[in-house]
Amino acid sequence: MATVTLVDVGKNYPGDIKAVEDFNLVIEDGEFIVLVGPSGCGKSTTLRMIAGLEDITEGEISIDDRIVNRVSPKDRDIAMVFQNYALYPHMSVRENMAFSLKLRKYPKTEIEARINDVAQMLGLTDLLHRKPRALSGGQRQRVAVGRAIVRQPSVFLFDEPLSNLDAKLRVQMRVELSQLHNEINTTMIYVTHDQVEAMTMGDRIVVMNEGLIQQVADPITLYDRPVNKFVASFIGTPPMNFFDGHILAQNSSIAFLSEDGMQLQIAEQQTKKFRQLDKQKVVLGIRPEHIGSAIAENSETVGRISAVVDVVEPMGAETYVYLKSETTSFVSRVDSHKKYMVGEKIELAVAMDRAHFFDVNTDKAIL
Amino acid sequence: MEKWKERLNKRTGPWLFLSPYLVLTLIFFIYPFIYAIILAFYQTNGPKSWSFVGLENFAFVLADGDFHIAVWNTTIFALASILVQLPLSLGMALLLNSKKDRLKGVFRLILFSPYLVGQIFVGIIFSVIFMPRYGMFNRFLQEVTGWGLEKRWLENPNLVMPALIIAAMWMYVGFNMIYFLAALQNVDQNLEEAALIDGANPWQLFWAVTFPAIKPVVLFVVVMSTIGSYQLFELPYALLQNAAGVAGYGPKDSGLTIVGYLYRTAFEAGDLGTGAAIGWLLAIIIFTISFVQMKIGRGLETESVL
Repeated sequence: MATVTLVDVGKNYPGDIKAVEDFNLVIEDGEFIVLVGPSGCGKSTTLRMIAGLEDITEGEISIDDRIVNRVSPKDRDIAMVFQNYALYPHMSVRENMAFSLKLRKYPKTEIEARINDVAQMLGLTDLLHRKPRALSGGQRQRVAVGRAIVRQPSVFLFDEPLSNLDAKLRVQMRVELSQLHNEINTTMIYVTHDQVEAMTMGDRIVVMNEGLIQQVADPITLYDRPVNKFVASFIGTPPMNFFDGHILAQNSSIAFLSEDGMQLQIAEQQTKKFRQLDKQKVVLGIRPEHIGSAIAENSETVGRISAVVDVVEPMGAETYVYLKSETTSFVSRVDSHKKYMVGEKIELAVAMDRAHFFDVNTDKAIL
Repeated sequence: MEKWKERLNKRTGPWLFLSPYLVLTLIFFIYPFIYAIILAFYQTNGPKSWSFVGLENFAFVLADGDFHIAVWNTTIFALASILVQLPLSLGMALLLNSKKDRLKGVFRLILFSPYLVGQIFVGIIFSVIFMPRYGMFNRFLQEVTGWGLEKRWLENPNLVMPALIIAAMWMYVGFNMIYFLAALQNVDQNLEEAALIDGANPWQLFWAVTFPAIKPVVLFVVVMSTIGSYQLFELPYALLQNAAGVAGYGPKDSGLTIVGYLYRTAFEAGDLGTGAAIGWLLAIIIFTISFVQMKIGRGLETESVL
């Protein structure tokens, strides 16, 4: 049980490469926090600094009020699960799990008891005598998690633990890890590049890009109110659609006029802040599910755009329709039972009350 | 006509490409190999006169005191290679591997380069280095320990073997280090990090993670080093060329190796049949030792140090 606090943490590599900058975050006791971002965004480096595997160039990291900048990894009371599992290949599953406890001179009976408990919990009891090479990917993953759990550390660190699994197993392990967190209720810090994993598992999500925190929020807030264009495009599949254009104020109503001449009425509750932005360039962001034929019934402010169907991707429960207007491509998420023909020109409704607007220069959301 | 030509090419083409290798192997390996088997059972008196003696050559060699000395010397050398030289190589490799240093490549080259000199030249160089009073080695000893300026390394039967081992160490430590270094660079970093987090100290980390990971390479180096040790010849021969006693073999045969004994018997004394028998005995020794090493090495499951 522990809180993890990062204050002004930064990591520089030789050659003035800034991997992480100004990282400030308080991770609450028992929280499941996910660091997410594209590769090279500094999320793994941050995790490795918390683990003590990477020196901290700037700032302070503390675990439960103890500054750990100079504490060696073994004394931080943490356990880590690696992407490639890092199981000791010449040791059996039992020995892998016992290793850290033996090093810490726990009594034999206690080691046995803990291993048996964890093995039962993770369904590894029948595999305890096996070597890692005789296990499947999912089993190895479970052993890696088990090895971390037997330690009963105050913080768990996960470095892309599901990336090496196939899609089906990944979904299954995702659920199991969430259940595990509910069961043991220990602070978990989880790094992934997969926004679906982040959304489904995290109590809170830290979105990172180019070494900087973009936004820290719970999944729904992140989805509904992204603070900038990066977060808006990174969270959600298919990603949010963006249209370049400018604001046009006429009499009582205010509209967004896209570059290819499409005019969309801005929802009433948003008009106030756009009045002073008349004739200014902005980026309009709309999620795929807010463009489509079914919008009309349950949205107050509806715009209409017409475009040519480019690609149709049926997913079963829904269909992604990729469309092209004169200057932009965008995607709509529609009912899978409606048929669309490639090349067909269609008109779609847009739920303007769900629209996001971003500053052209700063990419920040206009709120 | 064309078809026939094509078929011929398909059949003979590969053989044509293989022929340089095959011809060379036949002349320089297969032929001497068979010849040596036959030769070992004959008493030769010059190249023309052969007489069949059965296993007498083998019996003679096995009973010969010189052979015993040679086997003893060679075995001492092999043990020193494995127990002193290889741990040193591994230690150096660990040092070089531990830091991400730009000079790493330079050190690697410096440590490796003695190997490129070749045994004959290393022997000659060290015959000068080991000179009493003026030799670099004795001066070094004098400076560091205040002892050893007058030591006659190549003339004292008890010191010849240590001198030989030191010269060989200078030559091969860096060479074997390259193998270890390559193996160490392939060890999964995450494994070492996992062990660090699990609470291992450097010693435990090495024995629990690093050594098991490089074990196949260690086994390979041990076997190759043993084979090399048992084939030792040029280095002592050149080192002891000008030393007292029989030129090339050291005082009281203290630098006589198995191959040295073979050379002396077959080419200096002209007894080719006995020489061939020695060659076969050496092959059997090497084969047996390597076999045992590999059996032990493969069977040994490196358990954790705890």
